[in-house]
Amino acid sequence: MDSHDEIRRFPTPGGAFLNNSQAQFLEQLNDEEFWSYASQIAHSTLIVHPPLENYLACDLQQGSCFVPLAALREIVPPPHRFTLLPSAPPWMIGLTAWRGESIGVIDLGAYLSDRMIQAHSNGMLLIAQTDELMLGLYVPVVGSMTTLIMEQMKSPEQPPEWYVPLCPDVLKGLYDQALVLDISIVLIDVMQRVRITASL
Amino acid sequence: MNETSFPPDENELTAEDMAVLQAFDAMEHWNNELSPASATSAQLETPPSGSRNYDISSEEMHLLFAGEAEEDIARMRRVLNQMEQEDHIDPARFASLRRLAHKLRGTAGAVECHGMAAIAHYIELMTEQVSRGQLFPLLGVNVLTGAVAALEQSLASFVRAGQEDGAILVDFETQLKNLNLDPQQLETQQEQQARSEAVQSPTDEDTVPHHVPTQLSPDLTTSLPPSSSSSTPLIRVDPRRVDRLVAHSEHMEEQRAPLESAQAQVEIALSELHTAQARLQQLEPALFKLFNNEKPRDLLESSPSSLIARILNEASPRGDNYALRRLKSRGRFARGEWSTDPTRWDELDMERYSEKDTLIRSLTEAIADVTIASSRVQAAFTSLHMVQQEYMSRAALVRSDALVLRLAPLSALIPRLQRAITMSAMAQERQVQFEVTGEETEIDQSILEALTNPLLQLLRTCITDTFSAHEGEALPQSSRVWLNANGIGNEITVEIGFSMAVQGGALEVIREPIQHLNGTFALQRNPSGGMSFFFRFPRSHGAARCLIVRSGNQYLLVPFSQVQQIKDGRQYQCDILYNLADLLGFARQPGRPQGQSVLVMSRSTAHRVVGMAVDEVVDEVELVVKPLKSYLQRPGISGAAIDGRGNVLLMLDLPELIRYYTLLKRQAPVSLIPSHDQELRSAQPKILVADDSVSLRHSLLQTLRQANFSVAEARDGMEALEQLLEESIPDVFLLDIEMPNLNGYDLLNIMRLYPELASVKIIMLTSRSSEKHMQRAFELGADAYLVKPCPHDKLLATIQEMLARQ
Repeated sequence: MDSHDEIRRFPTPGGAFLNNSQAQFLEQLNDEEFWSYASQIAHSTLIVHPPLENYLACDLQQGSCFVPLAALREIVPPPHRFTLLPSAPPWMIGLTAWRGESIGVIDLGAYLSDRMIQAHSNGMLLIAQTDELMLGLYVPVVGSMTTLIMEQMKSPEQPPEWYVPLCPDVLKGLYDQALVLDISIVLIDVMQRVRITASL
Repeated sequence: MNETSFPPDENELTAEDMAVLQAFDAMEHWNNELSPASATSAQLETPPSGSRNYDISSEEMHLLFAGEAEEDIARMRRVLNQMEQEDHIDPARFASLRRLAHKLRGTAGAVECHGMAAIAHYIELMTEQVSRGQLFPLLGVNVLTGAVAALEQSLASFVRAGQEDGAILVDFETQLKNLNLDPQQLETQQEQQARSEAVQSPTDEDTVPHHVPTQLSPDLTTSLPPSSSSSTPLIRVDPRRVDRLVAHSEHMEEQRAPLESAQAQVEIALSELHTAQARLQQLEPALFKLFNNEKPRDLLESSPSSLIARILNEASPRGDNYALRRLKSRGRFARGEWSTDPTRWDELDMERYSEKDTLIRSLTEAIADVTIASSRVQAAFTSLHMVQQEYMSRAALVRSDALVLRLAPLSALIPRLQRAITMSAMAQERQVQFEVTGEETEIDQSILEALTNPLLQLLRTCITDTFSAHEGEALPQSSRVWLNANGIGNEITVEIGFSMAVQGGALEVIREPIQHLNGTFALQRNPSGGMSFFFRFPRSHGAARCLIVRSGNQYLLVPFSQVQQIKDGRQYQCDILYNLADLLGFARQPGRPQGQSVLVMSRSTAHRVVGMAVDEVVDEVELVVKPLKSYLQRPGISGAAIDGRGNVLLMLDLPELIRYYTLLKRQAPVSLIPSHDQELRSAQPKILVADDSVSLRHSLLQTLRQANFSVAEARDGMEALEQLLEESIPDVFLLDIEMPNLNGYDLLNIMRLYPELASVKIIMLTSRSSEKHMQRAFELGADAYLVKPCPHDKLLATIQEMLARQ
């Protein structure tokens, strides 16, 4: 437990906050083990780990997915009313204002399953941004923050049945049957599809 | 115009020019470094490197100077002409002008032409300012063109009379002062700049970003009156900072709506508090009375479900009568039996008295506390409201002041327009008089800049092509072009009028920039027999006045300028009525009032009134409308605004919306009330033929009449437009591309603005056979494209096909 190997295996906290697995690990230590562990960390040479991505688990109507936290600017409750955009794809909820800007909002579950949007009042709105692209992603339930162990992620060859691959690259992989999303691809794909539907 | 003969890169000076420049630089260096007393004869006698030492007479010197100066001035003129042709002027290009001016200053000084030397020096200073971003390139070109003209005049007077005309320099300096470019100030600024550069370390210089702003410096845009501008010191401000200030002020102004909304919510909450307080106050005496008058037994009987009753009921079976006794004793106390007999004082009764009375007293005190707190909240809210009002009015002032920073008078543009007119007319060996009114009208610089090239193009196209198109015809030697500008509030109206007929195609260049600015345009035949173009666009990118309308459960914005009247939808009938929900593809909401109001659109032909049915006209507001991200843009939606509650409101462009959804999507109007014209239409379809060729027109008319069509003809685009708007609307429109006044493309562009013309089937009939022309016509809404000469059978078949589509 208190070997260097264990310390190395344990995902080092990147900042002042611990995720669930880190917290659980610390909680199961008794005082002696904890201080021993702390002392070893203090005296051990800094081991540079490859950057770990934290993900937000989201429950969708059909299944669940992981969204990289780095791509999210804010998580907010959805407004009571969205503005409809004419000639929008069926999975697009509409527009909303975020920090003085009008942004598009999609139902993430509907997009991933290529279905019509359903009720969208009790969930949460994830404000995602990559480069200059910004989009609101509506999800019914926001779960906990998790650091995914990449070795345990499976390739997206056999996705769950409910998933309809509009754009295959949006999936990074599968983690415990949940979709691990590449948000930058999602954003690009959504914008292209929203643009295309205007001319249909 | 022989722009193609210009050297490929005017920045490159010849080796000889560079040698002369180096010589003058060296001379300046001596003057700075060596005082006349300390300069040795050897030093003075040593010619500067590269300079020539010819022994020539002063007359020859003057001749040489005149030739060289003429060449330099011509080069400057060419550079400026080239700059005028460009969409974007790179400030770095002013470097060649500065070098030429520097050279000329030296040569002019050498022959004692101090006026020319001074003007050349001013050119150096101004080009320096443009390069540093302290002077707007567009204004720089204008001023420098004036300077070059002054140089030309000076040189001409020098050649003619052997000496310069001193008045030219004075006039030019006056012009500079009128443009807030005080020559002395230019000098001072230059010296300050030189000093600041001198103290700056080379490392610092390397790290200074070389920003090339494209905006007027704020010192030119503060629009101070001339009297104060001469005495008020001007400051230099980086245009990017002005932009940031404008953006911040815009955000501040945007807070108005949320603040007002929050204020309204607090007001509602306060009102609810007052209502609750009033109810409490009403309850207090009733409760007091109840406690004092009601017997415990009564209380028990009347309130079997109360806590007291339940306690007593539960206590009775256990034989515990204490609670009952206690309640009874309370009843006695309440009736005053105990209070009148001091000998029957009991400590427990005191406790009973306190418990009951304290309850009422506490309630009374609580109500009093609530009343006091409520009045304090009310006072605080009133005070907050006043502070907020003050804050919002200050924010509005900051916003308007920030916008004013970006304003520039239209006069900054006039010299370029004047030059474009003069040059175009000269090329045709004609004279055109340019008249301007309202040049003091101030417009946002970015809007002014966006309009500059399209306006120049419009003038060039109209004037040049007009004369070339009418070659051989007896045109008046002198024509007039006028520009009337007028600004009311945030709206600018500009009329550009031509006293003569103009060539078509001019509208194509200006339509898009005007529409991009959320502006409108119109054409009209003017009393002089020529054409007038009317443009209407915002003075600055500020808040837009619009109507909030409801369609289903969606709230949308409609520009005020697009609505002529608001009518009751249940009573009003118009010729063509569209339903907004249908055009936007929104589902109608059952159970909610629908089509309550009709927006009668501003731009309607003489025969048709076009209306847009909406479920409700909610309010009239001023909101800052911004363009949507490109992927969210939709036809007929010009932007979006965010209201006080954080809702996104889409701004509609009604004519474009109708055009898109009826012309391209081929959706029929919701209701079309048949007019007399339409009734006739089924019997004898009407064909309008617009072609400037008399023979072809007559041939077409004959063919069409023989085929039993009702026909009308137009000699040019403008006449066709007049017929479309003022006469009955044709079923089919045969349209040529090349026509005077308005060409076929212009006409297609204008027809898009009139939704009631969307049903007209347009067949292009032109000699232009290229794919490019065909594609453009279809993009603009043409239904068919035929190339001349077109067999009559094919023409008639196409017409029949179009009629069948209807």
